[in-house]
Amino acid sequence: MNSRLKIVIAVVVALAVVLGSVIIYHEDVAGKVKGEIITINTGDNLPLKLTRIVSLDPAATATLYALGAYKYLVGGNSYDSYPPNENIPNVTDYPSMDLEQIYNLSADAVISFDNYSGAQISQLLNNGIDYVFLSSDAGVNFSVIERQNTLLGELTGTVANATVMNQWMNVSLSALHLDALSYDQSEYNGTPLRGFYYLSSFGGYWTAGNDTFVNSYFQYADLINIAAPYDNGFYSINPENIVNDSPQVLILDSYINVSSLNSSGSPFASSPALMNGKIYTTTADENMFSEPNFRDIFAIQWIIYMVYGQNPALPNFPINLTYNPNPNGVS
Amino acid sequence: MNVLENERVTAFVQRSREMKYVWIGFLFFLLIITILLSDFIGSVRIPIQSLLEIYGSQIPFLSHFVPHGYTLAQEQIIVQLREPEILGGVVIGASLGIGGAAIQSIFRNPISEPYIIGLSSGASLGAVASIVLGFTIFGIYTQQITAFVFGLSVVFIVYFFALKGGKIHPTYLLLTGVAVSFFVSAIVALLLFTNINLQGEVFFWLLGSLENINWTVLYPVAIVVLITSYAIYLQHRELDAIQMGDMHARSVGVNVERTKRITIFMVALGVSASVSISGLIGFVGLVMPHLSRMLLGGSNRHVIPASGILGAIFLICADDIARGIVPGVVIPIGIVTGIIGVPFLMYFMRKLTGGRYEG
Repeated sequence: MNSRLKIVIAVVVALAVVLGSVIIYHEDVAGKVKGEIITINTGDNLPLKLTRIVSLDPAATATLYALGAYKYLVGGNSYDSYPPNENIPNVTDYPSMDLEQIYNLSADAVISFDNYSGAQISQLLNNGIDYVFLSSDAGVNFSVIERQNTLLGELTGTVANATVMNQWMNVSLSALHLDALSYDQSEYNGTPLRGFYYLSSFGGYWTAGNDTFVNSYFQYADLINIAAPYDNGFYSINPENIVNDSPQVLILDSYINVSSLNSSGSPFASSPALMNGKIYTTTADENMFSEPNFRDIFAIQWIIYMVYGQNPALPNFPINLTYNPNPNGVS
Repeated sequence: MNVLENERVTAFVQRSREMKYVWIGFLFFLLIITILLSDFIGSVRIPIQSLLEIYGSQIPFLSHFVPHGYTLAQEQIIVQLREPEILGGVVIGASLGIGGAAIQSIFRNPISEPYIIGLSSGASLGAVASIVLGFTIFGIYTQQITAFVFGLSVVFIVYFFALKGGKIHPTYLLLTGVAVSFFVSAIVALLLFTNINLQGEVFFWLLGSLENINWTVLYPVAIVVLITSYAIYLQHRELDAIQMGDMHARSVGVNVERTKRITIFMVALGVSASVSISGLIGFVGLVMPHLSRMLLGGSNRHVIPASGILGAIFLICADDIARGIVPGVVIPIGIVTGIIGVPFLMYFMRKLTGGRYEG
């Protein structure tokens, strides 16, 4: 064996030893109690009360505030809109969560609705940080939202507030539905209007199909979601279906350009909604409509108010809050 | 040539060779500096004293004598996040650079790179299939393992399609690689078409990132890259001969087919392992061997290690930029390598080639 080969082998061995020692060290650093993935199905094996939470989920931030657990939040995200005047640092959550910021905040849990990569979640768990996943996709209806409220209550020691919040939601949903049925009867002889919720125009006509919390808005407001029969979850609908089902009510995300509805080739151009001016843009607080939490009650109230022109009454929100959870002012 | 002239030539060759080792030593030093500086870059500012203490605490036996004035969060950020990401950059950059040098020698084609033999499309297929079809067979590392297996499999398919009479002709291998890549890319597109919601996730994989590299995935990949890189380096004389043409290589006693087979296998193994944890990172395998040749001449004895070191430096710098442009947001590294890499190459081609690529 010549001397150069020996040197090369020595360097390779040295590098392997260095790498090995760093890895052994890292396992030592990470060798503490691993975090858990927590969902509404976790059951009774919940960790002790969480007191340093990073919320990458605007819906969860709002719910924690309403439950009286906002003091346990050490980090939020740039999409949070409620409560206003948030006084916690925003943690970057797109395209991936910023683990450096999360570690720096000494978080004991991260709440998210997003499917981050397994490697990132694994990093959190290995460093003793719990990952609370609250789905917002297909399968989330008001029953699931209430279970999410209960879970957040259990994790933060505010389960009593979660219970009264859920009771308020149930009573409100029943009241709203009864009011909507009555308004529909008097305005349209009890024939539900066909509606379409236009969420995004990015690469198609994005909407909410069956088995989504947005689809529940339609049901409680006594409307027919034309997108529901074609697919579950959030998806881009074929424009031919829009033309064929000719929606009578259009609810638009605030990012949708209203003038585009009337443009040449638009599937909405000849819809009754456009002809009759039944187009409503969600402007007050986008998160109230697009995030699954207790404030969806106010979203349904707003839809009923806009579609039927009548203001359904709601029981008072049972928890005393500094900031009004209903930014629409429909009381 | 008289004796004096002979001695002058020998001395010149000797000096030139020594200079090349000095260059490689300098590049290695530059790599170490780049690694150390990169540890400062991130969305959380960590004081130099804390950083040095964390370094000290990682050295066996020395750790007891180093003050521990840093916080647990700082230690986690450096040890769990930045170090694996930076060392991942070293490993992946080196494997792409070395793979590029070897592949360019075999193909005798300046625009070839490791991905040309179907590796990238195969790895994409594995990763995309695992995302779109929701494979979970290997737990959270399913995506990495399927990318590795598919990358390697497609290279084998390309190799066996290109094999004619027990021999591999570079042009035939190149064309087969391109054709199979197109075919596999069409399947990737079809998979994406079936679930358009996952395009975002796939998009980030296709543009590459070092962000998700942790020690668990880095360790096996580093060992594979270390071994394959060394194996490729051991072929440097044979690759030099093949660069001059198969006939020439045979005339000087090189077993051409065996060398190609070993080299392609080693490149496929090393680069597949790298790509499996980082996604597709372009440009490094194409350009770093050229830059090495511009600096150190054409011998693979110097080009292979220099390409590895330059690939590592380049990828770490690109990752620093990807992490540093918008605090907290990591831009896919493929975007950065393309945007900074192309002007960088154009500049060096004009300044350093001295007309070597002309005519």
